[in-house]
Amino acid sequence: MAIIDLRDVTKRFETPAGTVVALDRASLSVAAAQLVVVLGPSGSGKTTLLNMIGALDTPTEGLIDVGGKRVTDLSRSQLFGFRRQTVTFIFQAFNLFPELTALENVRFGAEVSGHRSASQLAVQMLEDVELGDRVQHFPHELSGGEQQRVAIARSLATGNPVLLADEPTGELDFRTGIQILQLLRDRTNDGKTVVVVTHNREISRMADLVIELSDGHIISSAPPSGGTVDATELRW
Amino acid sequence: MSFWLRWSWRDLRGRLLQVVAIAAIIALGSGIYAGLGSTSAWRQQSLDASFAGLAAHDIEVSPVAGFFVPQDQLLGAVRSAGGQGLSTVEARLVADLPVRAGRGGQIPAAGVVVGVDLAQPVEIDRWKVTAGRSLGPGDAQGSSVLLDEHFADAHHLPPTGTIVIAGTPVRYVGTVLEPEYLNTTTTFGTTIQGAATRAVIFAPIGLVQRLADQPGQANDVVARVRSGESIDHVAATLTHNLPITLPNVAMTVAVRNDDPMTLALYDEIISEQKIFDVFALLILAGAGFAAFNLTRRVVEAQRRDIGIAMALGVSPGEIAIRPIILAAEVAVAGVALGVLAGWGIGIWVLGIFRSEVPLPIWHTPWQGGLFLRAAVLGLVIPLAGSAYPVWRAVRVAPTDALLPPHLRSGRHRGSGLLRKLPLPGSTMAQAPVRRITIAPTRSAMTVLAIGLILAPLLAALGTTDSASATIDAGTQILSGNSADQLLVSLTNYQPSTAPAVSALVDSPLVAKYALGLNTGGYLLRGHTTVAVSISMVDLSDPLVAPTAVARQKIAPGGIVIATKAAADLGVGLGGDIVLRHPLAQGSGYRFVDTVVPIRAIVDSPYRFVAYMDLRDEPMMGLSGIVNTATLVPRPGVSINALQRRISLQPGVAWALPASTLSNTIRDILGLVTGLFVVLQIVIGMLAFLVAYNSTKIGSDERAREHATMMAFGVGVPRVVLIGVIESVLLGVIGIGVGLGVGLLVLHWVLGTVFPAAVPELSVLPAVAASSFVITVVIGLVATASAPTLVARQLERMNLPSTLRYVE
Repeated sequence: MAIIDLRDVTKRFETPAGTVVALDRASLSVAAAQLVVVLGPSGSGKTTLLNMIGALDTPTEGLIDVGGKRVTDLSRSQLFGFRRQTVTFIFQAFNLFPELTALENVRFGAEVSGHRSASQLAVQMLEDVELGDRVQHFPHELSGGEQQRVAIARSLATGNPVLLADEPTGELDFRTGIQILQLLRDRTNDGKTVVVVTHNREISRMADLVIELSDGHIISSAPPSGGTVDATELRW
Repeated sequence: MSFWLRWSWRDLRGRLLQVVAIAAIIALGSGIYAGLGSTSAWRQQSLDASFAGLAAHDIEVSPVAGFFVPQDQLLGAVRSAGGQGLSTVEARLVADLPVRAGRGGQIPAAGVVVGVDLAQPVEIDRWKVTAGRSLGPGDAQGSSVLLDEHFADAHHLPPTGTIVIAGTPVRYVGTVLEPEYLNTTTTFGTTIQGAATRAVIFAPIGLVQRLADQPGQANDVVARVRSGESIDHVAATLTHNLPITLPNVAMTVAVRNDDPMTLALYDEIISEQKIFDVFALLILAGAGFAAFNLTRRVVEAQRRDIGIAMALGVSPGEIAIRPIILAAEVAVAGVALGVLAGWGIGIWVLGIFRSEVPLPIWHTPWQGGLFLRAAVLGLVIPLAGSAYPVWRAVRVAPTDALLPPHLRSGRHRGSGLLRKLPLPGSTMAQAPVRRITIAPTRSAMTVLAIGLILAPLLAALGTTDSASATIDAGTQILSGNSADQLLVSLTNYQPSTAPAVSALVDSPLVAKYALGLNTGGYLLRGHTTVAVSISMVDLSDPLVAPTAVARQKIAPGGIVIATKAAADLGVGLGGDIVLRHPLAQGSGYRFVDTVVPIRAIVDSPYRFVAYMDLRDEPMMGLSGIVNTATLVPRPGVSINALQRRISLQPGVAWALPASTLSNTIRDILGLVTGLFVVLQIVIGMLAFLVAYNSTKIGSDERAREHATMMAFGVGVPRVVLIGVIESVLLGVIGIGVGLGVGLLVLHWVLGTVFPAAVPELSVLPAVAASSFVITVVIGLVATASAPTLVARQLERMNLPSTLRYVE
């Protein structure tokens, strides 16, 4: 059964210059525990697609089901609940809370989703992303790669089944980027579904499913042509 | 330049609400300064206009209290003595008679009944009718009277009705204001009378002659000096000639411009203005600091743009243009709103003055100079406020300026403390404390802004409380620790064995009594002169002497003065002081100086209070003469019943319960209390604006944090709640600062401003619990409600674009 299912999803924006169609009748289906890479040039609609799946934005037309919930039927307050329990985000700009330490940022994710032993879980998550020795550091005391790993740990601490990552390596150097991608890949082994939006075609080589967008249309949705490779084999 | 202006215009549009809010802070600060200042000028000009418009007398001639002269003889003598210098002269009979007003005569008052010759049109001290009708020649032989507006207003009496004067009911046909009686506050011995206890009544002279049992007599002449003549010269001529034209009667010639009652009206305006200036400037300073703090944060938000400009080689001077234009926009908007606020506050305060101190004529011209000063302050404050942050911003290293805000140096000074601070609860519960701690400078500035706004409020309330506590302390001393006393004033000096006195003390309703003599005098030492109201009583009788003094069994031959008088004169217990006092001589008296020892110092806040033993009367050339009585009713007899009975006795000028007199000062304080309500509202608005601006800027700075929270499923109400708790925590600390600074300001106002403005009063510092509560509640409501206004902004936030913004 698909954990993410989109049917004829269209998103139009009204601007002073006219109507912009960011996504045009997009349909796709993603199975659980897959690493999905959404590819496309700037302005192709890939972030809009991610926002629709994560219920940060609502489609103009079409139906979206995620984790067994019909997202397009949910009320505003139900959408908040959906984001607490079903999806979680990893941002290109990390978006950590500056007044919280690494541990507390991760604890936030656990607490929001209602975990009881949030502190223990947060420590575990930070150790999983190899930041067990940086728990008391504030974001401004961490490098970009470390901040992104904290952001991933925060998302993982929610325990939500769908991880949505928007250009998670965009701010990072190659070496750190590979580490992050490996972390995300490892999460699929735990049963999480990871959707990564990127314009870096090389990353699509480690995906289970590659969705390619152009001008708001899904132009392909298939496994990588050369088969799925390990993150360590990626080069850019 | 047009490029910068265009960019700045976009800044303005983007931050319109903040610019308006900061401008509103400046406007309220400068507005209260201009508004309160305007009323002072209006009051002075209105007083001048009232005296001129109603033809106030220039000179008043009267025999010594208790003496009467046939009306025609008095008028002729004054006309003859004044010669060509006088243009108009009118004779009157002014009698102190007990009055009862209201339904069933329930309101007792000390009546001052002014008999006017209505056969001719009244040309001096004319009336301004506020309700009902005036009196004219047709009323000359009638029994209709006019009631002073102050008394009628104090008791909400109708425009016409019945009033009882010395037991005789008469009809009053209107209420009026008259220039001689605009000042309602008088002292008599150690008592104070005001609008509520002193009823001035204007009546045909024939009626007053009947009521006072002085047929054909007068005791007062008012005169206007011919145009071009010197008032002082004419007064001197009268003083010289009156003993010739009216031998055997000691006459007093008083110039209105030197009259203490008239001068007090002007002094009151000046002293009140001094106090209000202090508060207006404090509010302006608080508003200035708030504007500085908020401008600093707005400029801080432009730091990245500044960094980019620096990296592109733009000169610091050009970089400074944009934030300075923003500050100029705040300044111009602040001045424009300040003029409106000043005008509005002025009108509002004027309404309070019109109600509390009614004047016959009000002149309220535009106070251009004052508004110009306020406008200059309004322009300078935001420009000065932006200068420092702009100077700082263009001096940082471009690399630091280019960093995203959360990575800039100096933005996380509190992180070390935060790491060590064990905080309970979830991360979201901790968020408010963490936000405050992580940026201690920003938090401290917000706390200071709130504190400096609230400080004048507590100081203002504390000033009222202190004045109230002073009255309580003074009343306790004046009324001999017992409110259950009737204070009686006689119409003139009487031997203590006179039938009028015996009728009082032998009344079956009286359990205890004490007789006394009240007179005025001066204490002199070096260049310092202190006016005192001497109460000559049995100093060993606790009924009339202060308890502490009565206990000491003080011997005669000395004086008891108030602590404030002793401090101002620099004398202490056992020291000597020169007392300038009246000495009876023939049918009049003259003032003489006598050195007397200070037998005791009474802890009275009123400087005018002084006591001497009744056995020292011979010093005044008198013996066994009294003009006051203090009566205590028998058990089972109410003070009101005693008052009703006594006020009907012949020879009684007035009889009032001691508690009535203490309420008088509270009525006088009504004006100050009304004005402090204006301060409370303005300060409440300022505190709200500061909290709102701080929250709004904070919300803009934390847009991504809020978006991230919402992306993780945290609802808007929870995000707003975090903001409310943060704002309230800052508010609580700000309130603490405000209370502390407010107490310091109060201490300064009472210790420095009050002694200079009101030297007659030694104000006891006091702050009522309700004043603390009002300050705390205004602070809490303002800070707690402000963050809720950004809820709409959060609801409408474009989450994807806010989250995706890459620094």
